[in-house]
Amino acid sequence: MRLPFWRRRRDQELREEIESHLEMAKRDRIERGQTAPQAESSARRELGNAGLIREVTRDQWGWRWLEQLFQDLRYGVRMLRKTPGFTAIAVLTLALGIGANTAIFSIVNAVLLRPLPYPHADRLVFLSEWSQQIPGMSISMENFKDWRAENTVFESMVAYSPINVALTGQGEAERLFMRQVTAGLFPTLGVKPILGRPLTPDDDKVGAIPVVLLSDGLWARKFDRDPNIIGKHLTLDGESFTVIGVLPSSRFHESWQLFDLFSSLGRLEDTIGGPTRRGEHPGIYAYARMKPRVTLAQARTEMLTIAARLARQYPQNTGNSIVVQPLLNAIVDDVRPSLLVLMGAVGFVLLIGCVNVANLLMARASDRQKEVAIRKALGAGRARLIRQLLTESVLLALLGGFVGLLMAVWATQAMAAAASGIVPRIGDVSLDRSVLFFTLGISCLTGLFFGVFPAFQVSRTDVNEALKESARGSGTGVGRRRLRDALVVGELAVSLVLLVGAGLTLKSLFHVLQADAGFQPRGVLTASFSLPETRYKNDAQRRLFFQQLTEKIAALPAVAASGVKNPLLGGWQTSVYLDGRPTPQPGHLQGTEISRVTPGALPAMGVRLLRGRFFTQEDNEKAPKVCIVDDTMVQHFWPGEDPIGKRIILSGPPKPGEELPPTTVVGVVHQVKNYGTDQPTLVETFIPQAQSPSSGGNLVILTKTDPAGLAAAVRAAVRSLDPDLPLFNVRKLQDVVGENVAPRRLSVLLLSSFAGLALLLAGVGIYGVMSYTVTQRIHEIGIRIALGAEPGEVLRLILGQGTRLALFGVAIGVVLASVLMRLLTSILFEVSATDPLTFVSVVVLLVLVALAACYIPARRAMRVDPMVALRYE
Amino acid sequence: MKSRYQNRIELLQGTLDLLILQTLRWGPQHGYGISQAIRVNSGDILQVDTGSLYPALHRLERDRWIAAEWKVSENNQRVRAYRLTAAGKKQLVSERSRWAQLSDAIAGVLEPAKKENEA
Repeated sequence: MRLPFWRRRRDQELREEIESHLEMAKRDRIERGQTAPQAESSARRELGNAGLIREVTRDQWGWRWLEQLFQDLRYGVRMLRKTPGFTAIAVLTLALGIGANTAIFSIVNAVLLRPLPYPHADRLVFLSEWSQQIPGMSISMENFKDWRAENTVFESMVAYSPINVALTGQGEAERLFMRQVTAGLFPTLGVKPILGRPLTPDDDKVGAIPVVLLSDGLWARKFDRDPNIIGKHLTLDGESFTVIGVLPSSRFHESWQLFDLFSSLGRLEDTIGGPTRRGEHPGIYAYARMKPRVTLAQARTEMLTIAARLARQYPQNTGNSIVVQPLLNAIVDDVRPSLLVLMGAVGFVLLIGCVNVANLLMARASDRQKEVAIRKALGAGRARLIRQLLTESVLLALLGGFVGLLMAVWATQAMAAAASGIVPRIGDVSLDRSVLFFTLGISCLTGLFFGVFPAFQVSRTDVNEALKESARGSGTGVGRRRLRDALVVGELAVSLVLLVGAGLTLKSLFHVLQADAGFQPRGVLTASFSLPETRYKNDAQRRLFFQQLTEKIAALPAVAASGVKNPLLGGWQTSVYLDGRPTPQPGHLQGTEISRVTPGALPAMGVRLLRGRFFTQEDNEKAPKVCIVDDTMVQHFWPGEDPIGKRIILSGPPKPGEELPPTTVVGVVHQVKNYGTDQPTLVETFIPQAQSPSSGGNLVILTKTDPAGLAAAVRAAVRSLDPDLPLFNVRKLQDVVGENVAPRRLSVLLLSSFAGLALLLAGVGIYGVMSYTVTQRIHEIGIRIALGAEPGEVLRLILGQGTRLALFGVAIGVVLASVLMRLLTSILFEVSATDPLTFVSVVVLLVLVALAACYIPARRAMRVDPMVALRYE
Repeated sequence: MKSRYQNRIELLQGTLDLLILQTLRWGPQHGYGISQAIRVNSGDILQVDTGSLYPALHRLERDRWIAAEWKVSENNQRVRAYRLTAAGKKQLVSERSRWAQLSDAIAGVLEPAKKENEA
């Protein structure tokens, strides 16, 4: 017997120890007067069998089981090498299953499980305001200040707000992303500048000198990592900012890494805050760090109490509350259901793979019956046999896991690339320690799971029967066949569940794509700009710019219709009520999204006019205030009435401090699904740009040709009006809209791939079982044919057996699916979780695949030559 | 063959451990020395079988009651010498008291009449 390497040295020592024992015994005897040969032989006699002593002593070392494991492993490797075909198929099957699980888990790990890259990130929470209509509303500056002052649960609370600014005076004007933050933000997250200093409270108050920190990305790209950048001045939207530091972007979580600049939010308190502006929610959100030992529930309770008090105290807050979410949840909650569904799907795929390998092992087990019987006859205990067989299957699974891991490396990269920009934190995907542990863990579990059936089956082998039966190729026991049939039925059921899941989500995607969005993005180019308030100081200047811009764009060749809309999709959320009727109680207000458009914008986007008219050039500052509403507002306020000429009041003005007088409805359009056809939208109102000039907007240009080809001409047109005004987000409207569907498209793609894989494996599984059955029954079939059975009857016999299995599997699968599909409800769109059409199609598909898989062995059975079959005996 | 040795280990187990631990109280000793010491100290009555001695030594080593070290003997020979560890000393105390209890109990069983007489 060869000892494992770590035992050889110790065994050598033991040998030496006993040798020295013998030497000493010999020397004693010589000293007592014996001759050397006498001493030698009597000492040896007294010692006894040295080899045996060593063996019994070795037993005392412990870790005996490890030694046996080592033996089993060596034996297992030998067995696997003897049957390379079986090994390859089993390893490949397992590798697909384990690889898919590893890939999805590495995404789940990076997105859902791994903490954010901040110290004690579990204590960070995300704060937003809550109202009936807008559950995750941005925060009013005044409320933020009260929350911050009154709470006792947070170490710090900080606010931030994203804006775009134009950087000028550094080559061509460039649009940069800036985050305005309150002074404590960087310490709260635990991010320190790599150069210069962070924002101080002195920088963060009204009247402070404007200062800015750069991201290291911008610092490298624009300033060549100039170490003397501190103290230099940058012109942002026409205002001069002093650079005080450089921040390491990579230390932030993903969505913050996009930002180029960070400046003070508190400095703007007089324009976004103050007693009159408590009802305004200017895009501010907040982070807070809980004190050590404060629980989320405590923090939530206290903040809800504070918010409730503020809601009583200030009418602008009526009906509003607060949302306190762990920061990680706020970032990833949207993708959690899809990821968990995918995790479940790959789990099923692996389960099916396991069943296939178990079946293969059981088929092979019959060949090994004699070997097992001999081992048993030689005294191997049942437990020992099971252990050896399980060692073999775990070895197989580990091989599969290793290959699967290699596949996962590739698959994870592919998926991460496909999901980039769709799934938050996907860029952080990597095969880290927890992924490796996961793979190792599921490989071992998999091996135990698929190994346990054949192991028990084989170890039950009756020595006498097996040795006697050996000539006839044993293993046709009814019990064994039942187990194999049951496994196939199980895998068909599981694959049906997966197929139904994929079918339902596919149908949802189809519905989402087919559904009417209320506008037509095809052929539309969009581009954004923002007029700096330092140069466009008043409404007259802005109006003039918009006027010139729209005229210039409309004059470009290949432009069919064009305009400016702000914002591009959706709008500011505000409340709306009817002129002349009593103002509803706060909290019962109807909300609307409101956007400003130039006359050409809605036609360019293909928004459909149902009644009245679109805006014209005459709807300007001198004309009465007008608006266009959508049909859902008409249903809400004026069901069965003509809405044209009705007057509404839009409060919660889009521009700070401005109270809008009543506006008259001049047109009704079909509802626009701004955030995707599967997303809820508020009722929508459009107002003319000229009557409420904004400081920026989005060009929407319907082209007669390829929209991308027009980009250069549009840029040139803007530059001719204002060379310091950068255009940004120049892209096709279709791409913007596509982003809404992208997550759904991705999860459907993945889910369908896994379902397809499951179908393939289940097909292979039923094929394997049926062809094994044919081999087992070849003798019987031979007799039937010899006795005059028609080939058709034989075919029916085998197909009949396969069909029975398939129908059983389908029946169980349908029951299972109708229960499990309820978990999918949150990701389905306009499809019931028990959609009959999907169920029926999947059942038909699965039965057809099962029959096709049975057909090959059935044909073989049909062609059995009775002479050969009988001689097979 | 193997089972014969194993039976003898089991028979001797408790006492052999005690004897080894007791012998090592006088200082480190190699296997041959231990077997000779037991033989001499028992007036040649107890002959420790090599097939029992080495498994016992290695088991006690595994349990960390004794520790082994390669040394060079006075005859310039490499020997594996065992010494008692702190845990081994404690174990010795408890095994001795167990042994005392056991021999008292056996004595009680063997000579019940005497006890009755005394009572």
